[in-house]
Amino acid sequence: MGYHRAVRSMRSALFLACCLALHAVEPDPDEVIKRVTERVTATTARIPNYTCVESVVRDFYWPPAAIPPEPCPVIMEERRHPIPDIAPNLAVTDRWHLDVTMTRTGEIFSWAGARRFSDAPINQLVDGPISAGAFGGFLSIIFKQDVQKFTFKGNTDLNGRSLMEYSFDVPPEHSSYKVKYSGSLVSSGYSGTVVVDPNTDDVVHLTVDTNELPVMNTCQISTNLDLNRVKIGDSEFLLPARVRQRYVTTTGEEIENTTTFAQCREYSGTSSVSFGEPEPSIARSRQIAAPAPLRVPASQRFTFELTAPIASLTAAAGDVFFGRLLTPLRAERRKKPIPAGSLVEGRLLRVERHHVAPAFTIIVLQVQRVDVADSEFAMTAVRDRSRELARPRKGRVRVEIPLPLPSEKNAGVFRFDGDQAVVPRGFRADWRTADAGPPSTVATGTGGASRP
Amino acid sequence: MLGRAVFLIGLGSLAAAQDDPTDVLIRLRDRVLAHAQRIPNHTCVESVQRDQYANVSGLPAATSCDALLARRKQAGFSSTLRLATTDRLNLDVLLASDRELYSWAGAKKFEEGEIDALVTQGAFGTGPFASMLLGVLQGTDARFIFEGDTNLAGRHLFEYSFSVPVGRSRYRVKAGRDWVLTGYTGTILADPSSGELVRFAVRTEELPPETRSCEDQSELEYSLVRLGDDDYLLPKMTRQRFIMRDGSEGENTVTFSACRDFRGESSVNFSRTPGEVKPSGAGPAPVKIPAGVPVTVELTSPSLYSDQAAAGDRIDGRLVNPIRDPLQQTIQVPAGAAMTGRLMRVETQWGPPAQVTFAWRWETVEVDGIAIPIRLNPKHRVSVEPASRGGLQRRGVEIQLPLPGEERYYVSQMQGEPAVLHTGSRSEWVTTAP
Repeated sequence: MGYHRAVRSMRSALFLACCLALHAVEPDPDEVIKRVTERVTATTARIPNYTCVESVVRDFYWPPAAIPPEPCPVIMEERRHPIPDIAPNLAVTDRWHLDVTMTRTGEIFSWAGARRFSDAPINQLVDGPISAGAFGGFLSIIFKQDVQKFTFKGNTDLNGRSLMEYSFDVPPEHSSYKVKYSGSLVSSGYSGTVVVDPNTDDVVHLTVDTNELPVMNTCQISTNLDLNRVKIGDSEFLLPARVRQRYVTTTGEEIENTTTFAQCREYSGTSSVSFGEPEPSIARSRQIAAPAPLRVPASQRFTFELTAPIASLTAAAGDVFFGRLLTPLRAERRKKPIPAGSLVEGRLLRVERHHVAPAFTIIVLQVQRVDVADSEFAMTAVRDRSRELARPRKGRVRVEIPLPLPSEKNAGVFRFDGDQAVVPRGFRADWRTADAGPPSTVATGTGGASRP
Repeated sequence: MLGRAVFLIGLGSLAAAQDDPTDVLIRLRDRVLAHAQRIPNHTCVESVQRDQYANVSGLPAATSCDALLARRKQAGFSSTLRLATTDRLNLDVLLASDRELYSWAGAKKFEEGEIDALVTQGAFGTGPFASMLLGVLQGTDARFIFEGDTNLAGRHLFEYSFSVPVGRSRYRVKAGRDWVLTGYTGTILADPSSGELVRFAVRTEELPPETRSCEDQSELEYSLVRLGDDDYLLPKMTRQRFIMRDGSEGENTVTFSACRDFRGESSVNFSRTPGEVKPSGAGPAPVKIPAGVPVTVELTSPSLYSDQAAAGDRIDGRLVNPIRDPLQQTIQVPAGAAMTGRLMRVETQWGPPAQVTFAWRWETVEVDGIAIPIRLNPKHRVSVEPASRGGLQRRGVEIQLPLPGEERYYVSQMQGEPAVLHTGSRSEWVTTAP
């Protein structure tokens, strides 16, 4: 009897101790999310001083057969219970390399390594569904602007880390999540979850699911962010290690963008941020101070060859390519022609691999300048087919014409067989210099997704 | 001397650039896309004349589509086809997203469904309004080949061919109850000086047997159509040819007219209940039309001529007898009430002898100034001639079965072409539950 009482007493004591211990280590969910919010706010305030290279791989999935638009509940139900025969298959993949930085108005972009950022929308840089917000925009709108209340869902475990999960729900009227479609911004309500580490007060994982977006035939844009602390210079920042964003359309097509960040660095004098047109007086003074770059005049045919291969599996739109001029060119304010052998520099505007038989790869090159030993000449050019058309021929001429997208002004489109094409070193093509169009190498975005 | 040489080179290059086939095709594409951005705000009446040709060659059926298509190229082939039937349709068409939506001409809403829910019989090709062309010029699905120069009515043009393999195609053909995708090829004729699209032709790959077709061909001639303050690129004439496996053929001739601003005029209905008619305007409590009441409706529209009228045309009528509640004997709808309906088929079978079919339905009846939906079934009266005194009862009575999908239409057949459905023609119906 005494033994049993002693055991009961010990059990009570143990239970009490256990509860006290639990109580001691179990963090208060409200306190944790408050600390996380403060930390995110502090971190995102410092992000504008930094820039990273944002790599985006977009996978386009098509259903085996085209279907007319279906109501979103039907589409989402089919996704929950997929039927293999009608599930969408990977059809096209493209890749993008962009520089991104955060400003007070949102994220702004440039081609990777470009000399400046500006504030044109991101969809002037990238055709098709593309998102701004992964770099810092999502954290900013969720923790600083939109979410009124985080609801604690419970504890969770990830790779041995004890984490806490919250949900949130933002109605359209409180949402800063904007989707660009056909030139106008559409607000979308959204909901999601945030997983935080109560020991470090860091956000570890974030999911954001939009409401239906009927105007753009989209049932949902679903975003998943895995976040890490990244050391840049002397500071640490919370940045996404990987972002997956899935667009589910009413026609059964889906697009998944996978975004990663690399080469994060402090913003320095090598880049500048420009917002729109400068004031007229400033613009005038700049025009006086900085003469217009020397240009290669229009309407000259030339040929150049690549000095390095372009592998479609690794190359991305935004990458720089180099070539060697094989034809001399006239240039402004230069008595001697730009000689053959001069270095041609340009940028890839599209690297697109089509997987559905017959598989092929599209690579779009934009020539931007030619360097002579002592100077650099800006150059705009389009692919020239006149030599192919002028070849002696029997019967009718047949020349394939791969078309640039409407946004790909002053560029050359090349189509290669297979979805893993490599353009070899020494690949030659004919071009024709053209009049310069408006600059198109800079862009910005607000938190949210953009889709033409 | 050097300056002159450079000048000459410059001029030569510029001229070449203007006629560059890539530049011309880009200009054409950009013009088409610019027009397409404005097209969704407009709707047009699409008039389709459908001619069905019977195979009267007397030859055994071709063993394959290749053999059939080879036979079509032989001299005198056209004499092996005989025009069997002709019918006409008038529809409203609207480009939504990447495909056309249709309604009957003048209907208040577009239905978000398949075209075969509207046009239940015969071959019909969607796409001539815009989506067929956009399917080729939008995106990266099509592969273009410059075929060289050509001449059309004294006009110097560039010819391009294109191909869209089935894996990238959105071109669908009805196969039984289902739709199948097909790859297709075609040609584009462009004016190199203006980048203007002149002609666009599409030909499907060989179609699978379940479509009962070998091949569909479409040829579209384009011109600018003035709508309000803007010009729009629309086909002024489209011919679609359906080559069937049994050697018969169909040809649809499509024209567009009465193009107008769409906004605020009609609505797009994305529900899944096609055919629903809602009462217009607010008013007193809705009248409940009892089921099972026989009614006679008299046509008040001007007489309808079979060589002009088309399925989709609106018709007006008048209720001859009142509709009474069978229990309380109260008049729910008075005699003389105005009715509206629609021709659903106007078809000529060329015979001989030629026979014309008019099929129509009534959709609304006006009560207290408000048009309310009404559902009527035709009253199929089997008229049996009485036996002559002392004679034998005639046993054979012709019964015309309605075509599938036409069970709710009144069908009237007449001999001779053109036939006329006269003003004042009466038809017998029975009310049904909504």
